[in-house]
Amino acid sequence: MRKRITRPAMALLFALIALLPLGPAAGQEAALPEACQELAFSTEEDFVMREGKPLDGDPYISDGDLLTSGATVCARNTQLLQQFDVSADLGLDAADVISATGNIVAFSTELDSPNGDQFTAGDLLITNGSVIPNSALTTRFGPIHDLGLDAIHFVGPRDRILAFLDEWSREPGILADMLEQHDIDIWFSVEGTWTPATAAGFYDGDLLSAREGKVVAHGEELLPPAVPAGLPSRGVDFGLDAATGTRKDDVEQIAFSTEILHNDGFSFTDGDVLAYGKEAVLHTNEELVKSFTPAAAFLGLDALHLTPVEWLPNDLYLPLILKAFGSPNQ
Amino acid sequence: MHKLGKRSRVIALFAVLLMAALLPTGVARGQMGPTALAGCAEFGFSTEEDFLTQGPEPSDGNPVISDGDLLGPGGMICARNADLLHNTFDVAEDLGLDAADVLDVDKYLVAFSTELDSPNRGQFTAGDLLLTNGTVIPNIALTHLFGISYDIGLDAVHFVGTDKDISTFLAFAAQHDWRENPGVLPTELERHNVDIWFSIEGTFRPPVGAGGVTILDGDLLSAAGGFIVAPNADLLPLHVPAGIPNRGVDFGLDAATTTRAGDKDLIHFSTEILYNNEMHFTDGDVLAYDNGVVATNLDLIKPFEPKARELGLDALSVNIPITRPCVSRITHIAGVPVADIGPDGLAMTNTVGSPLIPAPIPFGGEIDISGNLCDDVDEFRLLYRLSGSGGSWTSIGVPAGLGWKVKVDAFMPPGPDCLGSMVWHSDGVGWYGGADYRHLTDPLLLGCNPGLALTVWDSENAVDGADELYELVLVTDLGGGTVITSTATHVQLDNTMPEADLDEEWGTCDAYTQDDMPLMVRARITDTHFHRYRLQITGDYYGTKYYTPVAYYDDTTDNVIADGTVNRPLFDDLHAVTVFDLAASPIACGYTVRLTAWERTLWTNFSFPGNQAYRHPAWRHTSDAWTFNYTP
Repeated sequence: MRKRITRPAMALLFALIALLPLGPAAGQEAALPEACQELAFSTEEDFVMREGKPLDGDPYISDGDLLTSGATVCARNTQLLQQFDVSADLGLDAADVISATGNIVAFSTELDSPNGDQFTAGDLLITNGSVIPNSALTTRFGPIHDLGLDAIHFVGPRDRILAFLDEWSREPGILADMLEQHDIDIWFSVEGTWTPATAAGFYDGDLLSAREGKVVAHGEELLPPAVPAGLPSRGVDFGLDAATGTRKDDVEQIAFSTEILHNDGFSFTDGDVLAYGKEAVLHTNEELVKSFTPAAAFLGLDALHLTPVEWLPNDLYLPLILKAFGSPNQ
Repeated sequence: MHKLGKRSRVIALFAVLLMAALLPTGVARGQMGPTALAGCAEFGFSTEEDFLTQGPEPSDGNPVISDGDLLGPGGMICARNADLLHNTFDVAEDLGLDAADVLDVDKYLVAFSTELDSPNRGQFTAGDLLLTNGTVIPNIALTHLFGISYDIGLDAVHFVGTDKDISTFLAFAAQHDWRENPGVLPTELERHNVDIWFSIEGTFRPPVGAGGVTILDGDLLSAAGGFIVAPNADLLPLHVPAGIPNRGVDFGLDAATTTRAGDKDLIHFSTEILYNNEMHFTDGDVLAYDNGVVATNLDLIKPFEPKARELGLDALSVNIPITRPCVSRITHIAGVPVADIGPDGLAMTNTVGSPLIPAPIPFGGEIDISGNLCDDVDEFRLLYRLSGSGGSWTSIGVPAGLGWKVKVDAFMPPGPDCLGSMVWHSDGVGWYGGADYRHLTDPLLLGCNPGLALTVWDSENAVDGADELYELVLVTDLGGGTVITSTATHVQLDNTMPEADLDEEWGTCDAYTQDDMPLMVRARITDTHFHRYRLQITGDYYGTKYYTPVAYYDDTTDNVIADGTVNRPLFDDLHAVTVFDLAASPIACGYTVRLTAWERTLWTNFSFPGNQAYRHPAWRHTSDAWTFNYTP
């Protein structure tokens, strides 16, 4: 073969090799299990499965792993952080599974990146390797320091969300403007309280809109009147540890969990999934975690992604519920 | 109209003064001021969430309690988040409060960590340990010995060590930039006999094949030793499935505290998650080591009368009293704690003087001896004998003739006032009445003389010599024939003045010119516990030139050592002096060189009429002078 032909052929071969999808690393999968599109969550603490093992064979479940029904691990913490070149487990404080098959998850960690200023625990990370800084989320509220990130939920059609994330990964701009352009929103909650002297401010129990720079739902709206939620009106900030819902701009479809429990009248723990404004526990923490056969019935709840059908009455969706909370897969 | 009795008026006045003292003075918006921290001397905590207090109105008028505020018992706010952060770190925002250890309310020293990173870029993270004196100890300094090279968060903190050692370490820490060399923290902690116990936010699993152990965020760790002080499995009782991998769950460690001595079995803590089985606790309850709930979250927050019964628990600081049987004992010799006196009877290096003298110190004069006297003591006395002699004991009494006067309540005016006085003394063989002593000293018994010495020792007249090493004991008679003798405390006496002689020829007036200048001063100094000497020169109207004093420990080549000049009884060169230190062209005149030599003794004069000890460390001295003729 002549050299003139050989060189282009070699270049083509290298290009083809470069374009080949890399195989998953040990204990990791390229796409998330299908169940993760319906339910994904993380616990507050680590535990060991007493029976069975996840597909990667390790019964140790970290509070940084993304879990789903049927004792299935959606993604180990290292898998979520793969594009960030981080090998340490940084915890998982919030998560929204945008596309299980495309392995697109928006999430935040408990700890700052060990790689210098790469990201903080308050930034919103995407598994494609992009970072939405905490300050971008709160820009429309005013100049605010990093207040942490406790809950995350994208609102809008999934194709537009994916288009936005793709554009952001290539050319990040002014977040609120880009959200407007794509006609989507990011609802979120923070770890700290912001009470400026000259503006309304918000608490960590409020659900906020990154696009509008406003409170989507105050703590007192999320919880029913029987619960003394909301400051200063009803007396206590219950925090907002996780929030999820439909992709529609309908706050009443929000499911969430709090930072602290309540045991007076309508009782719930900080690991239960609650419904907007209702005296209803959609799922107890035990229901979420029991397929993993932990030694304790309560492990807390840090991140939550749940499609709306999951929190409808069990008798209507019994097959789905049975699937969601089945036995370990091995 | 009802008139208050004297006692009531005194109490009312005291209360008014106390309230006035507690009012914040000159504090910024959102701050309680430094005096409020006293409310957390015994107990302090923070909640996980903000709430509205319906209890006592906060002195700053703001009823909203932040999860970044340090709270105390009885509905007190000891510090707003701004009190901890604003003045020292220039942070106006509320960053939450994730861990706290109230170290010294008088010096306003609190160790703590925040929930959020500093808004001042690069200043500190939520994983760093902060101190209200401005010190930042980076997270990776705490975890250095565990091989963790990244910020893994900080959830609980507790300092272990004596108050003095912790105070010394913190003063040192404040001068050190730990970010530059975080790896030296364990060494410095060890050098200062201090440890920092802490917990982290994340789990550390060393890479496969790298060795090391998994560190759970539920483990209590030692920064000085790099070991797990208490694994999560040990903190919780066996029937709680705590600990990985054996029992199955990491319950986290959100707050932890114990005694300064680091008693593991007195660790109090809270978890990250609740447990609801045969044993029940929430993540806001205070648990005791291996022993379950000792205080519910509601117990802590109830005085604030919040609308909810559970607000979580993020930081916990408890000054745990150590209940130990009362032991009558000697505690101080001339104000020096017996713990600071070595077996050689000398106060240890750097324990006496201001500034502290970097040398061991003997005692002399009228030495006041203080101690702890338990309630069961009928009579007590102090005895001494030559150390190690096994000989007979001699009592240390104060006869009535010395006129030792102590304060007592006067007959008039009525009510407690401490305006009267009485003579306090022992009997002929040194015995004092135990009940009388307690009534004179115990504030609860309206005693007017807290800290009253057990006795005063005229050490110059000690029976076996004024410069010997003695052992002292406290003998207590509990009645019914029970007599207890305390362990011996050793005391080295030095009641002999130093000797200082200049090398001079008597009967001869030396004559010098400018060609002879400078003059080397030769002298001989003798004292068993020599401290330092100083030369001076004077003449005509020039005043006095004082040369820099020379202590024996300053320099090994200056011819003075711990007991005087090196070649005693011969004379040694000290250092040169010259008349030109007085003036550029000194006139013909007689000039005088004076040598003063000090000893190290902590010399005490005790004023018996005033019941007051006057202590003079390294104060006694002797001088010698020599005059010569100078002609330009």
